[in-house]
Amino acid sequence: MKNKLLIMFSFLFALAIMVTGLGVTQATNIISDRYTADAATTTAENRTIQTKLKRWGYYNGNIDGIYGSQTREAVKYFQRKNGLAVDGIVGPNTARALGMTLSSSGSSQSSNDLYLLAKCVYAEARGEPYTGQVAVAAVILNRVENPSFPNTISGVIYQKGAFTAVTDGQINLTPNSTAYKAAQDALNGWDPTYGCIYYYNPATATSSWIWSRQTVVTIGNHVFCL
Amino acid sequence: MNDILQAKKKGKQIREEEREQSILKSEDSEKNKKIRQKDKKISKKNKIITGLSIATALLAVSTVGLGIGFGIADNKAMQYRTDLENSYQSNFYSLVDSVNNLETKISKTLNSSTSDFQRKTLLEASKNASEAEIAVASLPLSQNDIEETVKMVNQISGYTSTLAEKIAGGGQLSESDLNSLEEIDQSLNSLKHQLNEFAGRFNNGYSIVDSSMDIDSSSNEFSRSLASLKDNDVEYPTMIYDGPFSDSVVNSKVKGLSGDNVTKAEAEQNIEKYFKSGANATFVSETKGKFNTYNFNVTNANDEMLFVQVSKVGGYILTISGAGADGEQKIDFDEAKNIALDFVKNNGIEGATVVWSDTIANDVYMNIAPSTNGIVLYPDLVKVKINLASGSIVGYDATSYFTNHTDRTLSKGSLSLDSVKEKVPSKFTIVEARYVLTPLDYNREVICVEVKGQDQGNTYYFYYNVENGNLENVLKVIKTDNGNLLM
Repeated sequence: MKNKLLIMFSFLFALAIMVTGLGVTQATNIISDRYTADAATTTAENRTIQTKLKRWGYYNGNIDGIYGSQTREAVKYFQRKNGLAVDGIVGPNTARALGMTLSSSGSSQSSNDLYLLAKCVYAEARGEPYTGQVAVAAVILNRVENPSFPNTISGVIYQKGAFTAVTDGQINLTPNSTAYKAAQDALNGWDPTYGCIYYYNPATATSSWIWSRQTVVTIGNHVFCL
Repeated sequence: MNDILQAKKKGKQIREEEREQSILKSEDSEKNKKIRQKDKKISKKNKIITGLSIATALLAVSTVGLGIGFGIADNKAMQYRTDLENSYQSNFYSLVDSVNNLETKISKTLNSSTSDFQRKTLLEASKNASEAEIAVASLPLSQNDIEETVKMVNQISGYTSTLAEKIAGGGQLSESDLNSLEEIDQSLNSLKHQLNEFAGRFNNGYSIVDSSMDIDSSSNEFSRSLASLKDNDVEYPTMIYDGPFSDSVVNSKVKGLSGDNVTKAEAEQNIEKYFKSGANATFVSETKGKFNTYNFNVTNANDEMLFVQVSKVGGYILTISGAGADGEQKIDFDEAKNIALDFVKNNGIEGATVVWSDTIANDVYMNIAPSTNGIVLYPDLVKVKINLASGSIVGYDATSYFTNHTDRTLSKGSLSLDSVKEKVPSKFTIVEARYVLTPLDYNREVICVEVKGQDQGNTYYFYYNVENGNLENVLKVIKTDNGNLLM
C-alpha cells in the first residue's frame, strides 16, 4: 500500500516537474533559437597572433598557425590583461589591441556572398546531386540579375517567403564543402538551367502558381523553370 | 464449616467475578480491536487525503509554473510580433515615401527645360526607384503578386540611370524618351495614390503580420490587397532601352550555335569522343530553354560523376558540372592548362588562350578566350575547371561562347599599345597590355586596349577605347579567402 502511494507521488511529482519544465523551456526556446557565429582567422593570421602573444609572454606553445585551446587561453589572458571582452576570439577590437588588421575585415564582401550562397544551397538542396546544387545557386544569381527580383544576393535569399529553408531557419545550418563548391561554380558563371528563376519540388510544392511556369529542366528532385 | 462454605462461595464469587472480568476483558479487547481497526481505517484515509492534497498542491504549483512559462513565452512572442509589425510598417511607409518621391522626380524631369537639371532629377529618380524595390522586397508579399511591381521599379531605376548617362554623354532626351517618361509618370501616379490610401488602414489597427501569416497562400490578405493594385489601374509602361534590367538583357538570344540537329545517340557518341580517356554516359533528361540540350550523367575514366549537357543543334558540349575530388595533387598548373586547351580545341573552339585563372583548393578555374586578328574576344569566353587531384575536367561552360560568337571584322584602330600605357596613372607598374573586345553596357561590344597595372600589391585592369582613347572601364582584383575576384 505504502509503495503504491509512493509510486503515485513520485509519478505526480515527475509529471509536475515535467509540466513546469515544459512551460519554462517553451519560454526560453524562442530566445535561444538564435544564430551565433564565431569570428574566424586564417592560418597566417593565427601565426601572427601566436608570435605576438609569445613575444609578450602570454603564450608558451608552438607557432603553428593552429587556433587550438592553448592559443585560445592565451588570447583570453591577453584580453583580461588589456581590458577587452574575454571571449577567446580575435575580433576587430582584440586585433586592434594586438596591432594587426584582419583580412576578413577588409575584403570580406565577396566571401560573405559565397558563404551566404553556400548556406542557402546547403539548406535548400543538400540531398540533391551536385549539379542540382549548382543549379539552385545559379537560380539565386539569376534572380539578382532579373528585374522582377531584389538586386543583391542577400536581398534575394532573404526575400520574404522566397525560400522555405530561410523561413524555417535551416539557412543557419553550417554548409558542407560540396555546397561551397557548388556556390563557387555558380559564382564563376556555371548555370545548368540557362537562366531559370524558379525551382520547385513537385512532391512538396505548395504554391499553385508555380505549376504554370515554363519548365526548362529537371535535375534530381527539382524542376527548374522560367 | 460455615467458614469453608463461605470461602468456597467467595471463591466461586471471585471466579465468577474473574470470569465476568475476563468476559468483560474479552469484550473490551474486541472493542479495542474494532477501535484500532477504525483507527487504522482513519489513518489510511488520512494518508490518502494527505497524498491527494500533496498531489493537488504539486499540480497547482506545476500549473502555476506552466502558466508562468507560457506567460513568459507569450509575452516574448508578443514582443517579437510587435517588433515584426513595426518593421513591416516602417518598410511600408518607406515604400510609400520612395514612390511619392519617385513620381515627383519624374514629373520634375518632364517639366524642366535644361538637360543638366533633367540629369540631376533622373539620377535621383533612379535612387528612389531602387529604394522602393528594397522596401517592397522586405514586405511579406507573395512573389507571384508583386512580380510586376518589382519589375517596374527596377526597370524605372535602370531606365532613368541610362537616360542620365545619355545626357552626361552630351545627348538629349528624345521625343520617345519623353513619351515613356510620361507613361511612367501616369503609372506611378496611380500606384502612389493607391499606396497612400492603403497606408490609411494602419490608422484603423490594420496589422500586416496578422494579414500575412502564410506568405504564399490565398490567405495572405495583405499580398492580395497589394496585388489588386496592378489589376485596377496601374498600367505598366514598356521601357525600351539597353541597360540594367532591360528586357533585351533578360531575353538575350543565342547567336553562335549552328549545324544540324543531332539525335540522342549522336550526342552520347560525341561525349565519348570528347572525353579522350574514356567515359560512360547515361541519358537522364532534356533541357528546353535558351539552349535545348540532351543531359547525361557521365562517369569519367577516374570514376568521377559528372553532369553533361549536349546541344541538340550541332551536338556541342555546352556544360559539364562536377564536384571534383579532394586529396593529393597529381598534376601542376601547366599540365592542367594543356588539358583545358586541348579539350576546348576538340570542341571546335579554335585559337583560344587562357586569359584568367584562379586556383581554389584543388580546382583550377580557367577562363579561355579565342582571338581574331590579335584581339582577345572576351564575349566568347569559355570556362573550364580542372581538378588537380584527379587531373580531369570537372567543369566546362561554353554557353557564353555559343550565345555571343559570330564572325566579326575587327580592327585595332590607331591606338598603339605604348601610347596607351602613358595614359595609366603614373603610380602603377604596368604588367601587361593587349587588345581586347570587351562587352560594355549590356549589349555593346567595344575594342579596347587592356592594361594590367599594379600598385602596392593591388592589381587593376584599365580599358581604353581604341577609337578615341577614352577610359571605358576599370576592374579591380579583390583577393579573398577563396581566390581572386574581378570587380
